[in-house]
Amino acid sequence: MPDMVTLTIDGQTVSVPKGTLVVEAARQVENLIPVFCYHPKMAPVGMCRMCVVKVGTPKMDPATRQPVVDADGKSVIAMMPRLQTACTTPVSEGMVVVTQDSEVEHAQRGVLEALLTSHPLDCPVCDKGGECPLQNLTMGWGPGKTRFDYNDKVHFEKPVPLGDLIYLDRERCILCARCVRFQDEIAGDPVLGFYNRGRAWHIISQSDPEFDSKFSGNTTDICPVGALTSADFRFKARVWELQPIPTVCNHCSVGCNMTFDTRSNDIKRVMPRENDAVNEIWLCDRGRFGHHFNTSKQRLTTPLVRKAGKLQEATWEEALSIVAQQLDGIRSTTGGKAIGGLAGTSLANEDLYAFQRFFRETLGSANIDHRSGSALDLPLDDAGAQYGIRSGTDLSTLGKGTVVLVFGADPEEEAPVHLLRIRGINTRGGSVITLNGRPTKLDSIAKHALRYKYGSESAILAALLKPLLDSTPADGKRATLRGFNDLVAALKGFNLDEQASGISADKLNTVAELINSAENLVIFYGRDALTAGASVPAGLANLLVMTRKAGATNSGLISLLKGANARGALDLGVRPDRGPNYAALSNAGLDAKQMLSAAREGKLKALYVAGVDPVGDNPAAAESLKKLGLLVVQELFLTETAKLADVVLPVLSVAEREGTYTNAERRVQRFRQAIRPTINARPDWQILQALANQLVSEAVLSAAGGDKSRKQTRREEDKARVRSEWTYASPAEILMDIQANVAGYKGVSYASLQGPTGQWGRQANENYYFDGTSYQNTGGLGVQLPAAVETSSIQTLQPFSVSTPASVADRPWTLVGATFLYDDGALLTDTDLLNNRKAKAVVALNPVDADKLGVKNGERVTVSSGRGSLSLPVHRTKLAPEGVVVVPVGVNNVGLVSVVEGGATPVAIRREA
Amino acid sequence: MLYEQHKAEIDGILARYPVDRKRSALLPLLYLAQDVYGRLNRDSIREVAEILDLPYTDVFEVVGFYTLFYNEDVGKIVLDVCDDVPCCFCGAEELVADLENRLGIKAGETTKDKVFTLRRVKCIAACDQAPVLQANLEFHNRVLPDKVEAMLTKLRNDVEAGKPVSISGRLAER
Amino acid sequence: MLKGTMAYFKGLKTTAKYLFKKPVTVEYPEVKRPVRERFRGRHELKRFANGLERCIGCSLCAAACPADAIYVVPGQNDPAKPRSAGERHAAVYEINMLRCIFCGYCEDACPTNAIVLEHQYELAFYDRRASIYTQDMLLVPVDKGHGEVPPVLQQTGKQLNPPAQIDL
Repeated sequence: MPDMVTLTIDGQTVSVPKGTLVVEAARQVENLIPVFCYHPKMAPVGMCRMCVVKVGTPKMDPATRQPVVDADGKSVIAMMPRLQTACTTPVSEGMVVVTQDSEVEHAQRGVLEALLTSHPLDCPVCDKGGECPLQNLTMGWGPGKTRFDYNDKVHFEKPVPLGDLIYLDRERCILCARCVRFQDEIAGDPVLGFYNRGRAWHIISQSDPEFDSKFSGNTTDICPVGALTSADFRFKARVWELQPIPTVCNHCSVGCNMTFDTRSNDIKRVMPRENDAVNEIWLCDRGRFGHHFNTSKQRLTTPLVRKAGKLQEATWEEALSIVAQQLDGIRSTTGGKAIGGLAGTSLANEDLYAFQRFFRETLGSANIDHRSGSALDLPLDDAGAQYGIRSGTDLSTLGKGTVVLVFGADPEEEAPVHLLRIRGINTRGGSVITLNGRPTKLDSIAKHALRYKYGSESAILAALLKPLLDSTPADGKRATLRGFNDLVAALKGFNLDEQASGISADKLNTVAELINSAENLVIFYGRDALTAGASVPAGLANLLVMTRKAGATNSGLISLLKGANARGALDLGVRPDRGPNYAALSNAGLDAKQMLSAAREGKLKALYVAGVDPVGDNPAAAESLKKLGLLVVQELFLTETAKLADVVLPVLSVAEREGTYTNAERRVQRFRQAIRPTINARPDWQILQALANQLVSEAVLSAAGGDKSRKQTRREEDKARVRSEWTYASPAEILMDIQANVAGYKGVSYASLQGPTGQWGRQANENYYFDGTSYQNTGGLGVQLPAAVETSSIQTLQPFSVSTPASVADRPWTLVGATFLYDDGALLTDTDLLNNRKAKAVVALNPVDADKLGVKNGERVTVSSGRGSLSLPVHRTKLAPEGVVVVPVGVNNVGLVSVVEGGATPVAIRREA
Repeated sequence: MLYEQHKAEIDGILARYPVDRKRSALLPLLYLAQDVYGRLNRDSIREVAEILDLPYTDVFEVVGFYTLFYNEDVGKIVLDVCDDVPCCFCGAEELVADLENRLGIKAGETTKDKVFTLRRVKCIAACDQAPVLQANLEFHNRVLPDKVEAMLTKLRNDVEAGKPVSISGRLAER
Repeated sequence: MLKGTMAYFKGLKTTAKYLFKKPVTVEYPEVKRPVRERFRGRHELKRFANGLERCIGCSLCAAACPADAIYVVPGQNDPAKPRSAGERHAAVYEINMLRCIFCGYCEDACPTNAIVLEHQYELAFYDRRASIYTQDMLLVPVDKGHGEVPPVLQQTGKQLNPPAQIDL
């Protein structure tokens, strides 16, 4: 228990930890001191003066330094001569606070009257009306009448756009600086500021582009008036008419809790739902504004079947029976091995489980994968589950003693809300170390911001591991580490080549020391690390083991995979080499790349694609897919792959159905149906169930032809393979099945995801109180799965080896594919607000390099590797280190996929004439 | 551009502050930019921000706060006439009227030849010398009617003779 | 006998008396009965004198409606061609007359006096759908507006003004 301080607030005695502010202490006894500028997530500034209270402290005798005691033995209270702001005054022992008396009320009424002198009072027009602290506090504390002349109000031009996403109404602004402070302190994008002074004081943004932040939408939530409103929700509905449906963001692996606020079967806006263990009360702009794909007119509305070379509308019965019959035909002639399946990372856990069951049990095929088979695929990442962050870890509570290592990742682009959480740990006293190949926004707060040269990742990790190995005593400790001797052998004679790695050995020793002495160690790794070879995740896991943090409280790996449910896909065995819960398989199937090449060779007859776009990711895949006997695509949109399909099955989107996702921290979270589907689509699991049942039914067997005895054996085979006919009535039942069959998901059910019951986090009324906006979480906090290492007693070091990239003489540059938050993915369909911020199809080149090549901005260069070449305009930027060219992943017309070889690729660059 | 043209001076200003406190050089650099460009517009403010590695918005905040940073066009010489109470007692209003008359402009405007800008300001801390005005922050004390003509002529001649002027007052006597 | 005849004339006397009095009934529908000034009949959406709709789509009428009869979808005014005064207008405005109880709360809630319960009382429908009165049906003609736009709604597109001078 930290030092407690006891004080009296309006006669009520309360004990709070030392350093608590009076306003927070008052909240604990349900005494709501009104505030505007104070926000519990940010440092206080005392700008609005709304929270003034009377404060007194025990009178001290200057001679004895003892409290003065009156005749009754009570200490004499010396009231401060002026009212104090409760939001900036920390509590002290014996303090007396008076929040309700005529003097305080008079002051608060005066503050509100002054705040309203220039407020336009256009609440009926204002989008904040109905959830506005200024409205609420005026009703509670304000004067009924103003003594100021209406005509003396300051008038500004009505809304001015702050960037594409936010509108600023300067008349309504009460200058509390919450938005400015959010951008400075929490988001780390200091793009908002105050301009002018006196009554002309107003907010400006002069960044380029304006309000250049990925978190700008949050300022509209915390704005206590309607000064900042979102362009997406501008005049869409009144807030009291909205029905918030708890859901989970499906744009990246953070899995932010949010609500779809709906009206008349339409999503009007997206709001965060408070979950301190995932996203606190924040959302990134992609999650907040990227909901339009759900209601896009481009969605597939009905099953399509290829007839006479053209995709034509069909009924579900027709489409499903065609798929079932054809799959059965291929199954009976060549067996399951000629069928392959790809299921994407935006599918729910229930779909993924049903998918792998459909393939492994019904079709008897092990050819399943969750990737698209392009050169940009990430390798299968097991370390993130085995050595993942310990269950029960809450990043929002970590601070002093915590070291965050960000290795080969750009959380801002790959998982933006993680950036806020890492910054939070830093603010609370933790240290951040970034080890990256290129500059990222986190470098500015990092204690050590180190830049390695691409290709030297494993050498860097070896240099970090070596001092830890050397310092491990030779006695019993080593014996408890399985694989210790292998690691010693792998690092024997290793010496860091400082020239090739770009970092000095001393620096890395300092970092190793810092990591070793840390109380908690959280390691984030992303695309750059994942594509740098198997030794990198292994080396990071070894760092955890060697620092005795594997499976330890508040420590572990967080792998920033692409897609909302990549972890779920890995956990549930949508991969060729392992079954659900990473169970080893006797014979592995083909992975996505192998499936495509098998299709090209004619060995694969049918491919079932759900939520993956192999042709969109890699146009060359079209060649392979055209050779297939059957291509079934289960999709939201008519993707490039779907255009080639024989049968296209439309599915319901995340807003139209139920399900669960597993996020990067292995937290299973539930999303709910927010809107009633208006199209003839079905959820993925229902389609798979219908097919699975048709494939074992008599109808298909008899239609398959062949003599009677053969049919009979077939039926016997099927019976043996299929446990029973699928009878899932809802995703909840599939989750029950998952719980029963996948050890890692034990205890996960829709009931447990709903929990904990009762109160958690801030109380519902407090959300209104501080923000005017509800962040209330009625959808549960989800369940965090335990990492494998938590439950095992022996710690295993992963096989690790140092690889040195062979330098290619005629290809001196390094090409890196980088993930950007705003890409051309299907999930941003119809979110036109973000179009201007989307990553451009350009080659990012350091100005020094560009000068060497003699290219200006916008001039085209050819980048060629051993596999192929691409031609793109140049963008000169310091975000590309010297010798490295950065090209965006997931952006149309880039051609990156035909050039990269795994991760960082040696390339030649030529200026085009 | 600013940096390339005035490298020596900017480096000199930067050298006054610790390397990791470049932000401290903001005001002197803004004065310099204002003198070079005649005012602080969007581009010149951004140039200063880039020299100091500051977010653009931070620099705009500073420019917006101080009234001696001009974000609209001003003449080569800015006349700030004090019209606070002690100066008024000693004839400030008459001085303003006289200047308006002679320059053919109203307070707050710039002459057509872009030489003079006339502004009213509040106390400039020289009440003992009232009425007082500052020409490019240089004090002209006891500007009684008989002195105005000579003062304006001298200032205009200085400008026409190509004497260096600084609307930021960098050349004013310290 | 005589008594019977007398009774006959007695009855006719009443008839004769009312024959020359003004009748209390009116020949509806040819003649419409006038209503009181504060009668609450069918709603009208009013306009300002310059023809702009008074309704700003704030939905306060819908919030006040005890019968949930009003449905409003707001929209943003095109500054070049505004439909209403200010930034906001009602893109959809519907009243379900079968639900409406003519309580007049919507009138009370309206900040711009846009919705007024007028004196039209002939509300009968052949089918339920016809009971939903849309914005076009409710709006008064463009030339039937009244009153000036209040300053609070006049700010779209205005340039930054200097603070108003305070007279001392």
